[in-house]
Amino acid sequence: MITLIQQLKSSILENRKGKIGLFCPYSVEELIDAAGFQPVRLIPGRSELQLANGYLPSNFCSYLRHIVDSALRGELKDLSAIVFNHSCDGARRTFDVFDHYIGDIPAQFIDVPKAGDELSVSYFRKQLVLFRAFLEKLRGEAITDESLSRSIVRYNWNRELLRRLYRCSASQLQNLGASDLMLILDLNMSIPKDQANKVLEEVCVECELSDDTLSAVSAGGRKRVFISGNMFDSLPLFDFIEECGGLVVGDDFCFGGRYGQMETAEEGEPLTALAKGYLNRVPCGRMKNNTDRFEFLLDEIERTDARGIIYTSLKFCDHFLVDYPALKELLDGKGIPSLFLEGEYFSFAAGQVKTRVEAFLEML
Amino acid sequence: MGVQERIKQILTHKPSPKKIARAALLGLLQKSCTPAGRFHSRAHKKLSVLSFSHAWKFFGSSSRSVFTSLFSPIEIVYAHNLYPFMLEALSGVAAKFDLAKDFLSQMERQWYTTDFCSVHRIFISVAQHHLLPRPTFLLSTSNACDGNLKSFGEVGNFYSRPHLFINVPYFRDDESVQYLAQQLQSSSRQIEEITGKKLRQRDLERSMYYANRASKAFREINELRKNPKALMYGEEGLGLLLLWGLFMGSRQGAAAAESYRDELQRRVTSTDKGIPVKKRLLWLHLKPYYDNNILPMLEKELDAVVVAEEINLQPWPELNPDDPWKSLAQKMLSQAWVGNAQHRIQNIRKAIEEYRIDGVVHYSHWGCRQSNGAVRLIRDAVQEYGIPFLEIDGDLVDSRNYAEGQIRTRVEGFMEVMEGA
Repeated sequence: MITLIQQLKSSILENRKGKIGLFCPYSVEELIDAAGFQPVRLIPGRSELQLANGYLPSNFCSYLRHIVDSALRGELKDLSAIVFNHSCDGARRTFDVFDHYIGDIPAQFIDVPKAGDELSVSYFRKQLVLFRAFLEKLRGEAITDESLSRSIVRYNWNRELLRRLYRCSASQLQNLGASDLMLILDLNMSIPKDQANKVLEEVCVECELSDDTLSAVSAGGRKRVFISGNMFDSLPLFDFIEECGGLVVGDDFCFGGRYGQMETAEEGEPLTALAKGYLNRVPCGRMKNNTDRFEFLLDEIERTDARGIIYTSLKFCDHFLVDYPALKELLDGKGIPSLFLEGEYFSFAAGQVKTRVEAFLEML
Repeated sequence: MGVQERIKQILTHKPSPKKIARAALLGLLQKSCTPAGRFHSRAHKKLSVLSFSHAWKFFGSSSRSVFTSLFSPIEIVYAHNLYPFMLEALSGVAAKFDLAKDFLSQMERQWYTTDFCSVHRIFISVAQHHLLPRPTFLLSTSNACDGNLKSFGEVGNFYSRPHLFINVPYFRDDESVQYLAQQLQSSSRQIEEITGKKLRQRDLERSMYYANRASKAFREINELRKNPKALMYGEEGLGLLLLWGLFMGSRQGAAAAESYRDELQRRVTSTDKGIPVKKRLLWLHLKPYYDNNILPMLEKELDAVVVAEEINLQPWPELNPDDPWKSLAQKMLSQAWVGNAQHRIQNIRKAIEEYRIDGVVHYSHWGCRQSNGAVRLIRDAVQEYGIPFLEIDGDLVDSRNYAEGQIRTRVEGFMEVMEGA
């Protein structure tokens, strides 16, 4: 596993493609890939904010403020462009700040509808036509339908591999723990999918061939928990859970477990296929059918034999925070205990979180 | 016991939709019998009477009640002969009667984050207290904020009624107009399925006719208020939101808007000294609805009068009955809070120039990220004119953190800067 992770890391270093930053999984990476760029998820450093609070209010998504801070400090200069989606009001205003104050990085705003009906798919397709034109201008060459179709195939395969990894992880945790999985997902976001797919396939094969099973892991008496959320700092949280005797058996983070939960038709007009695929994936809290995510969660909890769920969210995220009361009611009705944690991107109240996680695990 | 106290008693002692309808009827009778001189104007009395009458009908008749949001296309609702009711108005009423904190406390116990707009939290709570008539359906849009999808979704689930949600596009190009127009037409068809009644062309035309009359009146009101005289206080101007938010498309709404226009026209030509004005202000966003002294402090004590409110400075375009859905879509997209903040800033710049503004005040409502996220941009644009900008942080409906002393200090400092400029 360590060797395979190292392979992914070295692929990043070798990757000479121009990078296009994104922060939302509704950014259509296939288009970026087909244009010959590398889509990279923006993960700014988690130090104290220096400049962003002069541009955005303090009761505003800290992740977005960190992106602004990074940009103002010149840390995003190596990006060829940044893609903004109409993910939320915060993203809308962050784009406004970029548009007005940070002119040295080309930025494109894509309106993403909140539903996946026919009208919305048609509208989103038109948005993708504009995005394609933006990328073609940046690149200086056209994106053909053939190259886009090839990109769709690569990404579909990547997502299938990620789904297989998640299935493995739940039963092969000693080989592929939650922290390893998160690391792989992060690395997966930063390298060309052809290279990522080769490594991920090896990981899947290794795990699927292993004899060690679920029962061997659960015999240790560790409490199995599922994690749900958006941009929370997963790795320290997973470490806490494991220090307290828990075992993370799965997640549905935007760039985690939910990232792989979509498929794009490989036949037919590619932009329409992409529009349909993205709008009809397992949804984020921003979508009108956000409760479909609850059904996905319940299925995952059952699949991974989780004993409880830890629901995490960044502060000021209405999409995820306001979902919790309805989700909790559903979970309570099914006798599934849940713990609610919220925090900021840059700070993690470690002591408090650990106490609450300990108490929660004791309860399971 | 006065009528206000009686209304509050009804609202706080085992209320129900029927009892609230009775309270609204009491309010209606009281307003109707109060001389016009005790209001800001005859037009204000007309709007008050209309509002209570509407509330009485809404709470008393669930078969025709529709829950709407501030920028919902209520012209469609009136065209279907239904009563829209803007849920945000309920939060304002709760704040006015000092009931907001009780509703908010209940939401906190249910795990609703306190960072979520209090206006939305209150009306969810109002619904959960069974204080609303079961609606025929709900109609909300993605303008102005993400909260509308969540809060209306919650209320819709609570009542098991359909929630029609309209995705207002970010852009204003032809594709966006077409997308929105198609959604509006589709929503109207869904309403037909829900009510079992077809939309009649003459009802659609009627609604658009009255909406156009009201829009014309609002355009005229906005034009009149450019007058060197301050024709109305901003406290009253901000109340116009109720008129277009609840009555756009109705005969009474058109009449009320025209009544305001006529009143202001009369004030232009009147030889009365009128409102004393030392400084002319532009007010951005909304005002707090609980009892507070912010606007009285500015307007009555310091004679810094709000001569224009951003929320009313809309283009108010005409609807075209020959192309109703497209023209309604264009109207919705013309609202300055849609899309990029530059639309809002252009509107503000225009207002500063046309209304000869001496200072700009932004009320930053906690949890309103779509508005507060643009404050830096707005401040920089305002300061290009060499006029001061005051940001007041607070809540629209939750009075628990209202600190008059601190606000007074800031307001007085703002006034000094204006006077020194």
